[in-house]
Amino acid sequence: MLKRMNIGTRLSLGFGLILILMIGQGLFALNRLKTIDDDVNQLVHNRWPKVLLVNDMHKQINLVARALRNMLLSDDTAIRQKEYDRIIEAEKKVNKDIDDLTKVVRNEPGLTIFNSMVAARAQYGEQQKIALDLIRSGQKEEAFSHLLGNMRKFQTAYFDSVDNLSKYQDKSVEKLGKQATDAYDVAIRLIMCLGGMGTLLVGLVAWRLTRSITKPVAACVAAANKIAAGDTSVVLDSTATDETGVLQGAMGQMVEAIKNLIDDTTTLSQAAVAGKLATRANATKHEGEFRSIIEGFNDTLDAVIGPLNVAAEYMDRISKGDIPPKVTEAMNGDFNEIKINVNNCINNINALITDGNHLAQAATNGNLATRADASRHQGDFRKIIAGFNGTLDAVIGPLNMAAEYVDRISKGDIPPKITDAYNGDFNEIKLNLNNCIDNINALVTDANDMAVTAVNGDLASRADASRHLGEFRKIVGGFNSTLDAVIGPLNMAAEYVDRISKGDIPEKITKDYNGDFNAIKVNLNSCIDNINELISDANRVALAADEGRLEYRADAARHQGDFRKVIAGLNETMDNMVAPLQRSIEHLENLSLGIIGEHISREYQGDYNKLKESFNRSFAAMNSLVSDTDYLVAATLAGQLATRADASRHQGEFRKIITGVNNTLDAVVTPLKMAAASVDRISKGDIPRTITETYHGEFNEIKVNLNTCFDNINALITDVDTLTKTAMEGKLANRADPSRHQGDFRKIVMGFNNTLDAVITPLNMAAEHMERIARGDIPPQIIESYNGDYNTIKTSLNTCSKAINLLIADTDTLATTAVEGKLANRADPSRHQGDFKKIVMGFNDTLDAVITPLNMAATCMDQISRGAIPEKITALYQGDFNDIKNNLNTCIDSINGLSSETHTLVRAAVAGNLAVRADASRHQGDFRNIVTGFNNTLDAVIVPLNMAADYVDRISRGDMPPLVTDAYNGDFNDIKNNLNILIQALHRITAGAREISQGNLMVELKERSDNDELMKALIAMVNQLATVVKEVKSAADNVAAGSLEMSSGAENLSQGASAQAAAAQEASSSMEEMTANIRQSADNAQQTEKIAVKSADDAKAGGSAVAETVAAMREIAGKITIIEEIARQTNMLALNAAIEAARAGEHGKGFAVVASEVRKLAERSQQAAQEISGLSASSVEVAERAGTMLTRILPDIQSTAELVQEINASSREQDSGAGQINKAIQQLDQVIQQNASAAEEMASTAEELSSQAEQLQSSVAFFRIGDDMAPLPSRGMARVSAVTTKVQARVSIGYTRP
Amino acid sequence: MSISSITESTQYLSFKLGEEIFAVDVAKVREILDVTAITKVPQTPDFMRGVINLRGSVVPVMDMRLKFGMPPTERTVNTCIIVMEVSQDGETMVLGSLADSVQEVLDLEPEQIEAAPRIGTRLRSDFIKGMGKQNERFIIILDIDRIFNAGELEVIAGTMTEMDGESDQ
Repeated sequence: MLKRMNIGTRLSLGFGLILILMIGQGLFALNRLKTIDDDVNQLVHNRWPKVLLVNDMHKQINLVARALRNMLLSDDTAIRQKEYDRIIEAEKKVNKDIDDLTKVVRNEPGLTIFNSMVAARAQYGEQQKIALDLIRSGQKEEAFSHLLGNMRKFQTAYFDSVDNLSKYQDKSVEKLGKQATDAYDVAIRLIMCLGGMGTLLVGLVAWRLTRSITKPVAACVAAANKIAAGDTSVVLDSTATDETGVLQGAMGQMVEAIKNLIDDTTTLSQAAVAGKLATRANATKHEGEFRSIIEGFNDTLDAVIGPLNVAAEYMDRISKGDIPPKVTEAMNGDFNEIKINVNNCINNINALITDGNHLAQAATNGNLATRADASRHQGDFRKIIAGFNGTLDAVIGPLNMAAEYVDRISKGDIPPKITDAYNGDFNEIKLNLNNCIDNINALVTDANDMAVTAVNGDLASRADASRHLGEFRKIVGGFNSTLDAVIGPLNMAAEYVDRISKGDIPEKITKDYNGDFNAIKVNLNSCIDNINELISDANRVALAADEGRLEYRADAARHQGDFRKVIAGLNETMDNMVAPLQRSIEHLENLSLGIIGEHISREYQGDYNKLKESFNRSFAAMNSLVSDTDYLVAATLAGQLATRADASRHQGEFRKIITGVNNTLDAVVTPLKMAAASVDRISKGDIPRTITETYHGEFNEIKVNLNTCFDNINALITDVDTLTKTAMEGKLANRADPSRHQGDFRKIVMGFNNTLDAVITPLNMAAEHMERIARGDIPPQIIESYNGDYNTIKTSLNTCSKAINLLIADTDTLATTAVEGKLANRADPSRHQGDFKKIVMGFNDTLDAVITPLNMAATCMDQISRGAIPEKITALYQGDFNDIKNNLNTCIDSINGLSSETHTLVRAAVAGNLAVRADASRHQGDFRNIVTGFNNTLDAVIVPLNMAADYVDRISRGDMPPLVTDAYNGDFNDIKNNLNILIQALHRITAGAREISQGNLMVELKERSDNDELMKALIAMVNQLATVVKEVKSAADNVAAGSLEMSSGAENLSQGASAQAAAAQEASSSMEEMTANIRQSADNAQQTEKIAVKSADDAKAGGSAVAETVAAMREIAGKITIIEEIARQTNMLALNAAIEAARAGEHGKGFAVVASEVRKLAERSQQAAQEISGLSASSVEVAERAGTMLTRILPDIQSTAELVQEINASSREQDSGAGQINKAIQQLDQVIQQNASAAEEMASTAEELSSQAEQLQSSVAFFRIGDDMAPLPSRGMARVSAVTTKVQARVSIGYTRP
Repeated sequence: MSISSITESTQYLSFKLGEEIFAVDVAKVREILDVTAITKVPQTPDFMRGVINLRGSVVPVMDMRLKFGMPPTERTVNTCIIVMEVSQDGETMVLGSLADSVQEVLDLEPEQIEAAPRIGTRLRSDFIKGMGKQNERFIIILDIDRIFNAGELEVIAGTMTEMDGESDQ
């Protein structure tokens, strides 16, 4: 009901109620007050005047009475009058009072009392009058008695009635007062009651009212607080129709509006998070500021999403390969960054495409050196370009290498084998090139080998044609057949020369030879002829010598020859050959000046140099580009999308709103940033990973586009990587699949493929060519037109095949001419280049090497055949040529030897060296016959001569030959006779010498002539010998005698030594005993010392123990004193206890017994303690005495120990002295033994001496000198040996001692 | 007091002065103390050795030997003070007496006590209650109340009051 009233009504109602209650209470109070007022009024106006009147009357009565008394008492009439007037006056007043009272008194009892009083007054008045009269009359006595008599009675009654009235009045006043008080009390109680009730009622009403207002208001406040705290879950009861209801309703609406706002922000936030960027809040749903919030929100989203969509669209297009034009719209802050990133991305991809196209174009044009500048790109783009470049490098590296190799091969400069590892097709190319190089190298090697072996003269060696293929084999075959054609006749010639040199003159050559070979044959034949003639001449000389015709000489002038023509012809040929050779060298030099190749280094010339320069220019251009890009990137770093509202300043749902806004921004900005970052990373070529975070709606589209973009770029990178890898691996057939890419990416890939195609087709062609060349199958010239480097390759290949063809042609020509014997023919090396030139030159050298010795041999043979023995060939030849040379030299040597031997023999014969013979063994064949013939001639002359010489020689060596009995003629016979005389004379001398040798010094010797020095010497010798023998004999006798004396001396010595030895033995044994004794006493002394030291220590320990004991005893005594004291104290306590017990009387009896017992115990313990004390005192005394005694003993013990130590030390010294003495005795013993052995040695020496003397005597006895001196008897020897035996026995006795 | 008054078994505390054994009725003895510091009080009789502090209260100490005409007590470990209650004219007074050594608390039957010997009137022997016999030794039983005459006790008491007054201050 209250709720339906508005607050005004409710308040007026409440206040009205309160007013009514207050009025009621007031009225009641007024009423009560009136009652009291009435009472008071009555009291004041009615009762109180009555009382006053009565009192006045009382007073007047008293005044009258006094006045009466005064009148009575006074005699003065004036006074009497005056008193009388006072009485009258008082009477009047009383009357007036009565009148007043009459008017006032109304109620019954009052009236009664009043009337009685009036009646009493009237009676009193009469009496008074009487009295007055009496007084006035001067009848004082009467008046007096009257007053005391009658009047008094009436006066008293009058007084009593007045008093009654007064009392009555008092009573009535009192009653009224009481009544008023009662009325007041009742009124107070009622008012209080009413007031309480009214207050209660008002409170109740006020409470209800307040409550009805405050409750909804509080609800509103709570709701507002909750909303303020962000909690919009507010439910308000808006059923009330009053203002609170309205307030609550408004609050509800507000909450609703906020909820809507939150819902919208949440929706937008969620939509933004879900990527539904098109979602906008409906601003029309909101009003006022909320609408502006939502509109702001929408605008923010629009502002954020617009560029996002643009970025997304761009990314989409980029991911599809459709590179859009640059973004030109002006954007701010982070959007500008995104724009710049997108533009960078576009720029980079465009740059990538441009570079790809550029590369493809360059590759198609054959400008293989062209590379994209990777430094102009960033991240993965750089990787792409680097990959692209790597692929090109991988492809072009081998290509260039192949081209360079082919070029070098075509120029004959056979490069080293390719050792770098290549993969796939490159490997094939490499293998082909290597094969080619191998084959050409093999060819070159073979040519070189052949040249070397030919130069070395090893003519039998041939190149193994089977090792070569195709045309190479033909070349080698031609070479071999050329050599065969040359070497056949050469070998024949060599064999002939060999045979001639060995003296085995062969038959003439009848076989037909062509050309130069025939000349050789003719020369050989003439040589053979001449040699044969020489042999016959030699034979003739031999025959002549045999016959003693020593003057015969052979005619040397008959030997001539025809080889000069050959030599002249050869020289002419050489001249003819040299001229073109020089010309060819000039040609070669000229050509060599024109060779550009042979640059393994990366130096480029000509066009390459241009390329290099253009590279540098492009680097410079790129650096400027990079700096610009850096500048742009630095510019993109300034962005403002990071700005966010500070959500921490808000709470709950408001924070949610802000957070939502932030989230929305984040949701938008994060992908945006992510997109921007992605685009940035893409633009920097660093292709990020596929975005895996889940995005919704358009973000998803962006994400998908970005991912597609990543995928495409990654695919591109992967393809580029794959291509690079496969290119690196040499799999040149691999191509990227352009259908997998879209738009410009496809263009890139196709460009890449085209580049590869453009690079690889010529590469394959080159490879094929190389392979064919390697197989020796020289391909035809390449006529297809190529561009740039490919043209170089083509030219190189063509040059290569041309060079090889030329080589083959030249080899063929040479082979043919060689077979035809035209040895002067040479291939023209100037037509070839590099190693091919080397091959041809090697070929020519081989021919030269073969033909030069051939010609030389021919010349030599010519000279020999003409008898003009040439000088030895000193030029170095090798192998078979050396054989030829050696053979020729041997031949020359043989002939020279023959002539020199002849000369030697002649010279020796002149010098008389008749034993000199030519050594036939040094010659062979027919030469030996010549020499043998010579020797035989000499032998015939020299044998007798030699015999004589031999005899003289034998004689000179003392070997007396028998007499010569052979018959000799002429001069030889004289020689024979002289020899025989000499032999006989010598025989005689020999006989004399033999006599002397047999000891006969008395032999007779005669001088054969005065000049016979031999015999003179012999005689002197014999005489001298006789003298010497005599002297020796006497000396030997002396020695024998001396040895005997020595022997006896040795015996004496031996005796003395043995005696010494025995004495020493005794001394040693007694010394040993002594030593043992001394050691025993030393040991004992040591033991004693130990014991003494121990005793000293023990004594010391005992002293300290005694001291400790004394201390302990003293302590015990002290402790016992304490016990004593305790016992005494106990005794006293027991006594006190006994006293207490005694004082306790009968009750302490038991305790007294205990105390007595305790006292007894204490007494006993005191006694015991005293005894112990005494005992301990005596013990201490004893112990102290023991201590003193020990202390006195201690130094004695210690000095004893020291003395014992000294004894021990001297014992030890004695011990060591005895040991030393013992050692000395032992040394003495050794000396004695040495003496004994010396005596033995002396004895044996004497024996030896004796035997030697005896031997000398017997030796000397050999000589017979004619004085018949008999040798000394041998008894001395026997004596000496006996003495020796004795000495040995003694010495051995001496030795038996250990 | 005469011997006739001793009619029942009484306990006595025996102590030695020199070689003689004396005894006093245990009921008169309050306690036995070790000789502590005795403060000499000037202007007092010779036999009064001084005062001691017995748990706060001043107790005069007599030398019984001087009283009995023996040489003054020499202090040994066994020397002690027997604190007794002396009655004089109905007043009880606590005083200590030096003894060479305290023997024991012993029971003496009336038949064990002989009367004190009569030595004449001139010499005071009234302070001897009787001669106790124990193991053929005589124990001189003293009547402690009579050893000191009234004058002496007054002097002592006067000293004591002075002392108390002083100690009170």
